[in-house]
Amino acid sequence: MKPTRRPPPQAEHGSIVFRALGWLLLAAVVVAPIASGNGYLLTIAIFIGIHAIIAIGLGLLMGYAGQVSLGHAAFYGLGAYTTAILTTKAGIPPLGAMAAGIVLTAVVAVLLGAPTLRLHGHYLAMFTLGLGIIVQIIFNQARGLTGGFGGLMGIPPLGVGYWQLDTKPEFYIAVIAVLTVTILLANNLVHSRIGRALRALHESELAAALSGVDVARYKLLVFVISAMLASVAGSLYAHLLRFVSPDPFGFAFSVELLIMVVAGGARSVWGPVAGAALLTILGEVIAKTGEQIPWVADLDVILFGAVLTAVVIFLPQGLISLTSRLRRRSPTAPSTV
Amino acid sequence: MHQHIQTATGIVLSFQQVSKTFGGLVALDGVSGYVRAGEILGIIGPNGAGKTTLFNVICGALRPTAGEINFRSQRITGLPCHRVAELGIARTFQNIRLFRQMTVLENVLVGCHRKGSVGLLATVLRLPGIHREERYLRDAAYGYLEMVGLADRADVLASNLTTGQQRLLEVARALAAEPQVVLLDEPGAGLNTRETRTLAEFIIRMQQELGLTIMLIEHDMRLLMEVSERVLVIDRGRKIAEGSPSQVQSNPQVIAAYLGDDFIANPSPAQR
Repeated sequence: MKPTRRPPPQAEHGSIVFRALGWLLLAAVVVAPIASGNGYLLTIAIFIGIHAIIAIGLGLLMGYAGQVSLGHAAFYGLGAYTTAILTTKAGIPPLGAMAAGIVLTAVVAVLLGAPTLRLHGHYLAMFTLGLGIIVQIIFNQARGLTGGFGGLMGIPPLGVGYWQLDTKPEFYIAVIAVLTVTILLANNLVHSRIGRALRALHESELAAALSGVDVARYKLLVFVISAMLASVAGSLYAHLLRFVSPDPFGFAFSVELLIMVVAGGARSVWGPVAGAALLTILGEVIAKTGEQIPWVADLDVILFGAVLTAVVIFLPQGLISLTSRLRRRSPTAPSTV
Repeated sequence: MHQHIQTATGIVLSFQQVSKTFGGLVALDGVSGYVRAGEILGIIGPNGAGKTTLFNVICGALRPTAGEINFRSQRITGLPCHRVAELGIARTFQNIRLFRQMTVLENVLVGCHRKGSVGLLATVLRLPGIHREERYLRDAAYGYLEMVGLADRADVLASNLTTGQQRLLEVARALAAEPQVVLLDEPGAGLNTRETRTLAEFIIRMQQELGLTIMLIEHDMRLLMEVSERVLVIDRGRKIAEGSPSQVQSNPQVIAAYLGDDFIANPSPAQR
């Protein structure tokens, strides 16, 4: 009874035409903001990219490890502030500051995750909620370091030595590059033995553990990865605006990130990207309208809530499941629902 | 000293004075027992007797309140599940716990988890070793699916299998971890007569062809008595009998536990 036989060739999912069209469309969407020459559009596109990087990490945590973080904005903020402080006060070059931010958030994530992720249940949500509040207080109160409410100015552009990304199109390309790498790495992780173990522990921690999966270790691994991605996004944010203040890194943004992930579809790599695009655009539309009609500005929370409710009711697998619905016409696609 | 005796008698797994209480409820009350290498040990007892709790304590899902568990002369009491699995104990569940949103093949691939070793960095960078390992794991997983006769269902979602197939898939996933001891928790529940026959044959094949040691909880007495070499009877958290199937079947305490004390005093079916 030695296992020997080779598996049959993998079935091809979806038609090639559908895939080609999808990639073309995506390429068009990515190029459009630059081609338009519209600075405002480009800024929104950059924000979508930055938000997508965080959302992908949070999606891995929620959709694959089955854990919720209510404080991912804090990791985002830690990345942004580390970049801001180290570049303005210590004169450390941007990439060095970004790396320091990654290390710092990884350490914080390990300290927070190691004790909590051994427990069953949603303790991580509670702890990250607490982290978000603590980090917010530090940003506001440690004035000598963070500049308090006023924030920190004078952050240099992203770049290495002579090569500076000081125009918006250049910065946009850099963000798209980071996003692409993030998508590739996340995709590799998801479609692997480790990704399988994660999906398994999401369904039954006990059964996964008894198959030899070190459940606590894998959950921690994903949590740390997601925190590090948020930190990278934070550093990019700091270089984009050249200014940081505590406001964007509060609880409200943590919730917004959650909605991005759930609305887009947590159980895929592209889902959170779609969710990031949707919520960023929606948020911007509301903010713009709010400039003319002040009361509209307060509608964002209600509207985001409505989006979330609608998605949960009508598309429980998230917006991204629309693509697989189109693709499902092909008879071989096995596992979309 | 104690360990020498264990190896001499071929005992692979033993539990001494194991107790487990949940608040005021005593689920296990000082149960001791052992299983020899290559043996099939049946475990019976009325509902709520503590049989599944015993499995949970052995595999690390629950920490016993008292007592200790030894596996191949190593104390495994309180070890986390994945460590126990690594050492060579696998199990199936009474209430089937498959990864329902994953395919049949993927379920067994998770069972093969320990056969793979590629780390995180190599995984996210998709270094060449990944493909070789993935091919190896798939071949292995297919082998286990063929063993239980589910190879043609490999790409189906686990939730779309019949109950009988799901139980077989749980066995395949357990075997994929290459255990030495397998704990089967009511593998016959929900199976029809024909499926039960296949299961009985398969359990014996697991013992004879794979050389596995098996602990079997089963309510289907015919199945259990047929395959078990020794039977352990638990009632209300206590071991009340232990011996060959025929010894156990004629033990008055066992009959009392199953049919009520009245039955002994007045053994007429009409009384019940």
